[in-house]
Amino acid sequence: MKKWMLALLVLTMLIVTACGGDDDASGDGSAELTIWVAGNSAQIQETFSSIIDDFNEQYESEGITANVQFEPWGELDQKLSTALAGGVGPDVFMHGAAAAAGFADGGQIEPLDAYFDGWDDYSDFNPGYLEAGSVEGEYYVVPIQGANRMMFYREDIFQEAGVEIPETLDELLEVSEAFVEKDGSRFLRAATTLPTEGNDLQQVWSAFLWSNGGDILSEDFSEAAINSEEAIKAIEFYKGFFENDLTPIAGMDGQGDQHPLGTGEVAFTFDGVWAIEQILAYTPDAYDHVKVAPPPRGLEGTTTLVGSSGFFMNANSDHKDEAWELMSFIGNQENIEKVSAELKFLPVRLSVADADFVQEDRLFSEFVQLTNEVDGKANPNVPRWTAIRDIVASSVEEAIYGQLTPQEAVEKAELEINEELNR
Amino acid sequence: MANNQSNSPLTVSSTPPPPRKTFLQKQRAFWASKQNRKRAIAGYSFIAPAYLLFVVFLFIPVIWAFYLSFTSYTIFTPGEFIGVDNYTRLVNDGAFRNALWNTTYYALMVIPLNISISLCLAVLVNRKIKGMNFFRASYYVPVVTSIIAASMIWMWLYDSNNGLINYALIQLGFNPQSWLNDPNLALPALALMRVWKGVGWNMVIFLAGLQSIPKTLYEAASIEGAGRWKSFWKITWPLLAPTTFFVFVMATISTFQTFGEIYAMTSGGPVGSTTTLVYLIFVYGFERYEMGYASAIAFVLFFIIFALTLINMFFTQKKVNYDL
Amino acid sequence: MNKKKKNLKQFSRTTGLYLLMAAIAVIMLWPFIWMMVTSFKPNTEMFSYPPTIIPNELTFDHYVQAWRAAPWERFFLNTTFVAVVITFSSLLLSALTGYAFARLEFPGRNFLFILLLASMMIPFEVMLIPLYLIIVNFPFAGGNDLWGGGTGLLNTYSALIVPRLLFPFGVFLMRQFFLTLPKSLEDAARIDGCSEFGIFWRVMFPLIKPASATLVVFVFSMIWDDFFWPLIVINDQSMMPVQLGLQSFQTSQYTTDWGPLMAATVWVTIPIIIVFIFAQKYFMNINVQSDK
Repeated sequence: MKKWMLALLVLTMLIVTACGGDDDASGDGSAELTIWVAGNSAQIQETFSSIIDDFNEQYESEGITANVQFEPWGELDQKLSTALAGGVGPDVFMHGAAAAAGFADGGQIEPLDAYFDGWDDYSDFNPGYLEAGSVEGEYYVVPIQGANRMMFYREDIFQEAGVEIPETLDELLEVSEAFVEKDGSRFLRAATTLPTEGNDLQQVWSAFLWSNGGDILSEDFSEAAINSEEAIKAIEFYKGFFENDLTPIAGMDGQGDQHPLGTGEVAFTFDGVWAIEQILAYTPDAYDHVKVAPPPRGLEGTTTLVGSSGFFMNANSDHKDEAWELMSFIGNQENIEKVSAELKFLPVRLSVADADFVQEDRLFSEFVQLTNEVDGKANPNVPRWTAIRDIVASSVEEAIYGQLTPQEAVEKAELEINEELNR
Repeated sequence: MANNQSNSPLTVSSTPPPPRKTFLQKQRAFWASKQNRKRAIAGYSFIAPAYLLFVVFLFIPVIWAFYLSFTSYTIFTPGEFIGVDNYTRLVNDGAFRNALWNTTYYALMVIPLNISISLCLAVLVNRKIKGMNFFRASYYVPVVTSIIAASMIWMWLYDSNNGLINYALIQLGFNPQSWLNDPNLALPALALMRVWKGVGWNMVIFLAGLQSIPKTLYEAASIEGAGRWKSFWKITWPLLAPTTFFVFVMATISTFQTFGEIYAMTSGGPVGSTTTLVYLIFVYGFERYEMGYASAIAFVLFFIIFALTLINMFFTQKKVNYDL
Repeated sequence: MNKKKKNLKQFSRTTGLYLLMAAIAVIMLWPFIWMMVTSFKPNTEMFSYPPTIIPNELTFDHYVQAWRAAPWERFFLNTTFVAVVITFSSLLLSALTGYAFARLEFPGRNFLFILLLASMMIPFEVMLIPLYLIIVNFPFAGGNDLWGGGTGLLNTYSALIVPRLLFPFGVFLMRQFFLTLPKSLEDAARIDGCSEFGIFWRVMFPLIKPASATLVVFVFSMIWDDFFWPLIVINDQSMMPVQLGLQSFQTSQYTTDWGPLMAATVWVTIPIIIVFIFAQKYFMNINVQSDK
């Protein structure tokens, strides 16, 4: 019996020690950087691996090497926060800019203003994307991908219905009935598809709020500004599509990864560039019918959502200067063009808008054009943003589902947001 | 050693309890016997390797998390000791009350269905006939289908406009439903999927349990003229008690901790109707970084599961009193 | 006449049984079948309405595409290695521990058992960071001294294996099954002068083969399906498990490549089904004699 116990113990110890890691590189002038890229699809891996290879080649003489890792979108947050909490986070990582305030508040990311000062490329970046990752006047992100939303529509369906793109949001709601085709209670075609929860709901709805001249927080981010006539109007407009039976509450986007515009199941949507790839992959025949336009005006004009994702520097990195070399290398003209061309990321540098690959894709180039023309606004960067975002989304959601009136919804949101801001 | 099993609260036994002694008396009497000593030493050394792993990789993290539930820890900042503030905050947190209710409702749907269906399936496949291997394996397939892929397929099945389930309903002349977008149906829809995914697991355990019941008992019962139904209630059910207890505890734990498909399919919506306690822990802990508060929710969940286990233990002990 | 009638009754009963089991099999297998059917459809047909049960056009493109998307050979090797090591070690650990909790008496036994049981009731989400810190600060590994300083077990196979060697549910399962064995077997062996380990190893352990087979199947499929823990503790793709391959079809935050995902899910699932089929012959193993 004792032999057995011993064997088991030895086995355990063996596994622990034998497989125990051996790599430990630090100090002596050379720097080994780790960079995490969000997304692990084959294309993303290929593109970023080749950029990092170029970097390693160019910086070999200076003793800087970078190791790139690819993290799936769905688990990025958990892995990143766990690693940062463990003090073993990457030197540079990619993340949505909306998280900047949370990370900055926790002292996890390094402000980049000092580095931006001597950086010539700075002026070529779309200011909206840089702004999306700034907190209290300091920049934190080198953007890699823009995330605007525009209005996509099917020209043939509009023609068939005899409708022009209306000037205002209210008119859009009015004309939408012309698009709807139903078979019993099943929609053959809905006017549009609108998100009814979470992040997406907040993003699409906020653009309507801003177009009406309203806002979520006050100018200085000190209190909620959502309890306003503009917000109520924005909710009523949004809710109108469901109330008037213009689109099902379950959405029209449930068929796997097909885009409903591609299948002709909706006449228009408010989407990002990813819609273009979806249409091309699953319903290539529809591509020629799809057009992109700025969303109609609200009470005060048109404002679209501007977001970005990009690279952040770990505030606890041992090699910050080298990390900056890596970040600016990825952000250079050539690499931004490469990333945008190969991954169909919305270009973050103004000069890329004229690149060949942009011009080759009609929809893509129209979209890029619009991002530089239409007014845009980023979500507010406050430390409690993720919580505030959830509050906005769930209040609007409750109004859509008829559990609250628009008035009650904005009151509830105001109360809860102020509670968060004062926590 | 006549009471080898009887003083375990978890076992099923009919031996009457020995007369009461004080703790010290009991210990002294126990260690006085050489045979007891020998066996106790064997017992400790048998559990030692497992317990070493347990302490390092489970017990310490649990105690740590328990401590965190009394702090304002937020992943990036150590926070400070704030006593029971997190727990008092729970009382007034509407999201917590909602999640508590959802979790209870979900468990009430899933656990009974899961256990009863899996027991029926186990009885059904517990025979040696041609092709049984195929049927058993096919009932186990949902258990091993990756949750990512399973969630996508089920979202598609449930899709209100183009989903297969609504297609079937329409063909049969029923009204289509919005399933995952209907606050009243979303949680039952998820429960149904969980039952589909979970019954194979419990079926296998019940099957193993059925195998350990001696065949001779059934033969004896049939000689005495007992029918199938009667011998199920007189033999199978009571002798299956240790297995049923295991299945119940495991089903409770896994049901109360369901996360994967909620994350993938509904993100807790619509209007919070599928936000369970574990999903709420995720939201507070990893989206808002309030890990201290999330830990407090986790321990409330722990006490619920633990209480249910104790209640079940009590019933198992009371009910099973067989002399065969 | 009577016999014929009985045969007929027997026949219709068997047929009914088969029909019932087949119906259940269709329900249980439906999503999986649907996944397979979809994986052979071209993108343009994949989501047509009404759905096509038999593809109009067969294509293997998704399989080719999916195979190229990730280093699958490496992933399969990793997962198989980790799953086999864990399955057999944890079977032994669980059996030994479960046996002690069921059949050996020692002070504190119930307390220790309940502690083990209770630890399963804490959601993993809140244990993640403490556990991660233990892995990172594990003494004398990965450049650590006694107090840390390096990366500990992070990014090693040990991190994949050691924390998952012990499944409390395995101990619990084994304990429950050891409880059902008649005491006379143990006593007889003891009279024959068997050591305590000998009783466990030669007499009792072989008697719970159905439970052992169950545990093997469970642990193997749990490890095979788990993707979260490896993702958290492994950074190096060369140590990643098959489930990570499935993640790589999410092409952006908003889009997923369905066809290849369905195709890859098919080959990721099949190995566990094979393990299950092999383990099955031990599910039906009746050699326990009653003495009660």
